Amino acid sequence: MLRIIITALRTGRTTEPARSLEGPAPAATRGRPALDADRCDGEAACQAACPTTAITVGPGWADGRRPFVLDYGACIFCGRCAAACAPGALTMTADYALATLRREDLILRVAVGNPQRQEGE
Amino acid sequence: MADSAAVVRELADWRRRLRILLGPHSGQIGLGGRLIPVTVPRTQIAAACAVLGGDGLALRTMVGTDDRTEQGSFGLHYIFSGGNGSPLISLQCAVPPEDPSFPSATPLLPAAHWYEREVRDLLGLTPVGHPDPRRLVLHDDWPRGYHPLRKDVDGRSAPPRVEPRPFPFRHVHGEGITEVPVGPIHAGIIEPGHFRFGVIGERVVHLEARLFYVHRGIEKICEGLPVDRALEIVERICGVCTLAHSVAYCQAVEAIAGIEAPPRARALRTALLELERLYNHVGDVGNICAGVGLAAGTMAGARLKDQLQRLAERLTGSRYLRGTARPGGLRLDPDQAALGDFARTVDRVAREFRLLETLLLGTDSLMRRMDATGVLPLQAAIDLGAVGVTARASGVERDIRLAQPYAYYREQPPELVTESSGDVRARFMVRLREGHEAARLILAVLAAPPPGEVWTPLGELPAAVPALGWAESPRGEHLHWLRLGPGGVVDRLRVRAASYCNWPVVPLCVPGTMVPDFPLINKSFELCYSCLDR
Repeated sequence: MLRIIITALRTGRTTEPARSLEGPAPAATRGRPALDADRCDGEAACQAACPTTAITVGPGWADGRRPFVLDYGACIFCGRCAAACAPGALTMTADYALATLRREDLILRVAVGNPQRQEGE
Repeated sequence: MADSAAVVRELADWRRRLRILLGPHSGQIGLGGRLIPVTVPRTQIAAACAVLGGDGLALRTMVGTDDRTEQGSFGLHYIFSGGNGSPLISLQCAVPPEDPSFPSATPLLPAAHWYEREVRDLLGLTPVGHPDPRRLVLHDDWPRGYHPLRKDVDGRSAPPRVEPRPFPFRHVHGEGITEVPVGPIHAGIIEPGHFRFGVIGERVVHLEARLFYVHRGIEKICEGLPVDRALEIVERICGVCTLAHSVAYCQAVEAIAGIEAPPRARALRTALLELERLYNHVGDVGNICAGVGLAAGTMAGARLKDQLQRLAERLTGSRYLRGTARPGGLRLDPDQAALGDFARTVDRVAREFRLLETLLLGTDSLMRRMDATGVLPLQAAIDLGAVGVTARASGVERDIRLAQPYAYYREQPPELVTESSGDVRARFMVRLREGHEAARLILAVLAAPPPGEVWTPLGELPAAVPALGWAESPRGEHLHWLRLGPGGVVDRLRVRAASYCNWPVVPLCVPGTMVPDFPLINKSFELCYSCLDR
């Protein structure tokens, strides 16, 4: 018992501040996949790569653009969408603090694609 | 069963054939995960199992398959192997759909008990003569005649539910005997399991466990998926032995493809698998302290474990080592700086773990509580096929890293760690020693990791060729039996985790102890509901 107390005194305080206060997660961490809508070609390679159907692109094009929907609530952070994205529009970030107050806020909706794109191209 | 002269003659013939298989060239065949098929008539499957058991082989897993579309029958595959370097024998038979039953091997080979009950529940194949014909996997509100692993059942639809009939627990009767039900919902953050204690005062006379509350149908939902997709599910079977599951699965795919991962991938797999073992053993040593209320040990274990899980996150992007392995090798190749961080962190935590060990071994209140508590006798461990830390703490000299070396264990073999007393203390000591050995292995591999690629293409994935993949997880050996269909999709995946073998031995170790010893005993086995229930 005495040895445990002595060890505890020697060890001192080991509690650390929460990571959000201390700094970002390690660079390798696979957190929230982020989309750069300007780079996205709308080809939906990410949708085909996603194992949980968290990503829906389209259907169809309008004026060279199409809807892109990413449900963070269904994402398992595997990184396959980012690996499949040829133009590098989808990247995995180290952002892991994704909690929201409403389920709807976990869904990202943007229009993607190149407006110069011609119909039937 | 073996009373007619013809059957006796046939058994002698099998024995001769198997002797040939187990003869001089053993050690070369079956090592790649391919199985040696031995097909017998359905009526003689139990007798054949007894022959193999009598020849010193052990039942490692058993798989039921629905082959009605391809072959017009169901299939049963009993997988046996012997000691180090033994070939893997798949004793198999066909079961006709019009009479879906087979003679139970359990009376002759107790280790078959749960496999045969599971095949009855999930595929509707009845083991005739099984001493315990109650349900195992399916619960009381599932309808009769509904067998989810049959191919004509849609795995995406919810099963119909019926009015539950009470489960026939075994009761102990007598003056002064009380029954104490515990769970399936528990006060701590553990998963669901129901325990029925028969007690006289504080003394336990009987324990029965009812499990499989979180059956997720993982094997079923993997069917029809490409091998890469099924990997994402396999990685999420369990949060403790994530990498052991994914490596075992990847090796099964590689065995089917007839390839081996490149040396650098195999070496890094070993380093990361040992990291997984180390952080779990460190955490479990702490958790055993929680079983006796020694908070200093629990907190120190949790703190060291977290340092290693943060290392895992820096190395692979995941605290649970997800997204690391893939069929053919690895998904990532840590650079020199990352591997330097890996070695330094493991070295530092391993030193602190040594200090914790010294402290705990000198704490009488912990050591005396563990002494002679929850004893698993050697013979019971062998008969029921216990694996991993549980088996080695009772004196079973088996570690699949040595028995069937995979990854980089041929180049860097671990030291076999065993104890003989089979009590909580023995399981605690095996974890301490295996933790040190894991740190040594990591540093040995990282001292000179082979250069080169970390992935090799799979090439052709032949259909209908079953293969086995395995890994020694922190809890014991995981076996993944895999067969693909046309187009390289999963036709049948049977995940046999270490906990599947170790859960049934727990009720044997509890009678004679006190009710308050149960949390300590249970913690020392460190059994997994997720791995078991799938």
